[in-house]
Amino acid sequence: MTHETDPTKHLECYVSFDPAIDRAAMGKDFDVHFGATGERMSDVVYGSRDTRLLRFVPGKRASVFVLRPLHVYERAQCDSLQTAESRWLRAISYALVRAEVSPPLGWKTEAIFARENADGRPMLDGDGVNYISQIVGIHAIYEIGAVAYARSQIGPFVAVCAPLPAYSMHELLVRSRSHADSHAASTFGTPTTDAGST
Amino acid sequence: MRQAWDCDCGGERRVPVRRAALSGLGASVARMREGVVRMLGEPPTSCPWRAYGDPVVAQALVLRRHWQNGAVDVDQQLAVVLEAMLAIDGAQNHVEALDMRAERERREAERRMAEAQRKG
Repeated sequence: MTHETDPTKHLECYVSFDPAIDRAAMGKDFDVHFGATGERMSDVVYGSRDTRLLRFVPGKRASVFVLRPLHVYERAQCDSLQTAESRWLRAISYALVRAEVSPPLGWKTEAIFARENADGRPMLDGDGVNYISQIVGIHAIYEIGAVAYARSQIGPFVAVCAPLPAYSMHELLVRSRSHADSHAASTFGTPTTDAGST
Repeated sequence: MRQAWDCDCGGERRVPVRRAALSGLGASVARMREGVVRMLGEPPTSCPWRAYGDPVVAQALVLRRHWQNGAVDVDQQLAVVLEAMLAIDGAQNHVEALDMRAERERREAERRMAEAQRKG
């Protein structure tokens, strides 16, 4: 099975880069569970999110996010937004029922529950999403939000860490930091060796 | 029969019988699969019986029945189920349109043949 078996039910979702997940022990199951990206669309492997495939590092606890399926009006709210990130953030605010965050992904252990809305459905407001992102990081929120959004559509899951569009502000920020890091290394006089110059 | 559909339901190992079979059941299933691809644009990922066991398909069929009775509050439905129901509707409309076109062409051919016989 290369996709989730029942997207009409609640889903326990894990973050692919959680250090508590033993990637080496999972082997090929890692790609089956989380999916994998490729250079071509045909290389993309979709994730099943089957929790039976997960293996954890002994003594460490992975953060888990429980998602409910989105309703039509919630999906319409997400679709009305312009960027992929804003859709994912809106999707997670609707879909997240419970988050059990803990180190090593988060910096503290806490169980967070979404407050019930006027219609009786749990919904996380902007402050709640910000609070969780301060604990586990915005990358984790984007990944979980992408899963929440993707499972409201027909077809298999999007690939792991659903790729951000190139124009994304977040993507541009990450790239600029990456360039800054590499530039900083040479600025501080890090010796570079050239194999041909000796 | 299910193996010919390249489906792993019933616990069988996936055996692509349809690729090897040039005649008999495997060939007929292969023709059906090709027909599905031609009509709907995508190959089936399982045998037809398994599709009815899919929870999304099952809920979409129930929703479709209520939809036809006009007893559905659309906003309160699950997005994935509504999308599946619309896909089922679209596929059925597409197949019915193709059937109608084939029927029209068959009648047209019969009419021409009858005219040719009458003139001849």
